[in-house]
Amino acid sequence: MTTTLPDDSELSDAFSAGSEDALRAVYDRWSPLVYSLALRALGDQSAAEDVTQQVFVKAWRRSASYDPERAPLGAWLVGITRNCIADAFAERTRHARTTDPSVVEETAAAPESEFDLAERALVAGELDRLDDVPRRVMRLAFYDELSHREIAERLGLPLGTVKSHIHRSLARLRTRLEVIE
Amino acid sequence: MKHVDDETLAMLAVSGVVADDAVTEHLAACARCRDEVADLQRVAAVTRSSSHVRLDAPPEAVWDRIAAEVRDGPPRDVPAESPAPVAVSGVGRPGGTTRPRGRVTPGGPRVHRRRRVLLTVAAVVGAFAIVLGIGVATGALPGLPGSASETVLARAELDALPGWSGAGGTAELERDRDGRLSLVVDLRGGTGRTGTGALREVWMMRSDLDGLVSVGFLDGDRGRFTVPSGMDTARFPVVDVSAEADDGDPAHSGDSIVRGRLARP
Repeated sequence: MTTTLPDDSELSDAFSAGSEDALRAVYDRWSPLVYSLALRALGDQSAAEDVTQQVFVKAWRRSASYDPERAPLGAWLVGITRNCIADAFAERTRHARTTDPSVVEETAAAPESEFDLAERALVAGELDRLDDVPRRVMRLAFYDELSHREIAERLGLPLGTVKSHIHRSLARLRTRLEVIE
Repeated sequence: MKHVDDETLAMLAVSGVVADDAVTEHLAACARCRDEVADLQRVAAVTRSSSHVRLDAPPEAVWDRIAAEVRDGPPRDVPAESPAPVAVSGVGRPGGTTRPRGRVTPGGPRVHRRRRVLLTVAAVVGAFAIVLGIGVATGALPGLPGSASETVLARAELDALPGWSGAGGTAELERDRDGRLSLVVDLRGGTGRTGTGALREVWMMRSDLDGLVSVGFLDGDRGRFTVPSGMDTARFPVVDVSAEADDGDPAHSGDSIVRGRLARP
């Protein structure tokens, strides 16, 4: 975890306690993800802005019942986002039904890409927040596709340390994805 | 037989290389370790594909609108009670490296395969419904009164949705002496109007309404439905009754009459 960013659990706690500063910090951290998911799914900037607004207002209203033990904040927000996107789709579909039935087919396939982006973006964000050494290990392993041995040589670390960083970081990433099933 | 250690499994998931014959042998015989590798492989694949994710930030005006709505709108919701799991089987808690195995379907890469099914269905039905399994609830016995041997595990007040004012009802999750679960639904004021269709279908949904299971159709305004033993009811705590046309379309119509959340009585 880097020192410039608030710790996840501190942020989660402040958020569920109802701090408006925490809401702003949560917005700063996750609004690009929320907005991008909505933009991809809906293909419309103004609709994506509306969804972003709805998501954070909803999150704020429900923040007292947010339980960090049950879901990481990012995944929880993605859940609300998908819900709001679904509502926007339902609204659009209702309109489309009364006007032009073919529009329904066009919009129907969108949720898949939204979903995939959510996972990738959460993982990318989590990688950025790892400590320096594990972050470099993970980037070399996954972005540069170096072998464990090559990473050990490159960073001057024992092979066992590399393995253990990869195992721990991978397990951590999995917990961040767990709730988006 | 001793399971393969976590680091070796992770390495295997990342590199696909097995150094040790004993590990290969164990994996051939052990579904649990294979599942673990499959799970980690999935995380690894997502991680690999995350290198070029580009996100767009919303315009700053969006924050201004949120701040204004938070300032001027209604206050934060006060949670009525702690969100009690209705569950028979445990809900997976994030934070550990081992996952609960209890709700895992035997054999088979779980999350992955199910998700593919979900996405396919979602792509077909579009925005609203992600249908987990149609007709998994078997043996609907409408109108059968509950006997004294049943324990009420959870109860929900069903409230009307827009367009259905005056409708209401209750849902109860019961366990009988043999451990079987039933959902008993009573609907009021939902039969006079037609809405999307004349049929009344009962669903159990996830809290975010994104994922649902059809429980069965009401005959009249009361129904008792067997909940399959493999179903984790904690994951689907919201009970919903919808108006459905008799058109053979298995998806939720989007026209919900009443809805409520199961909570411990």
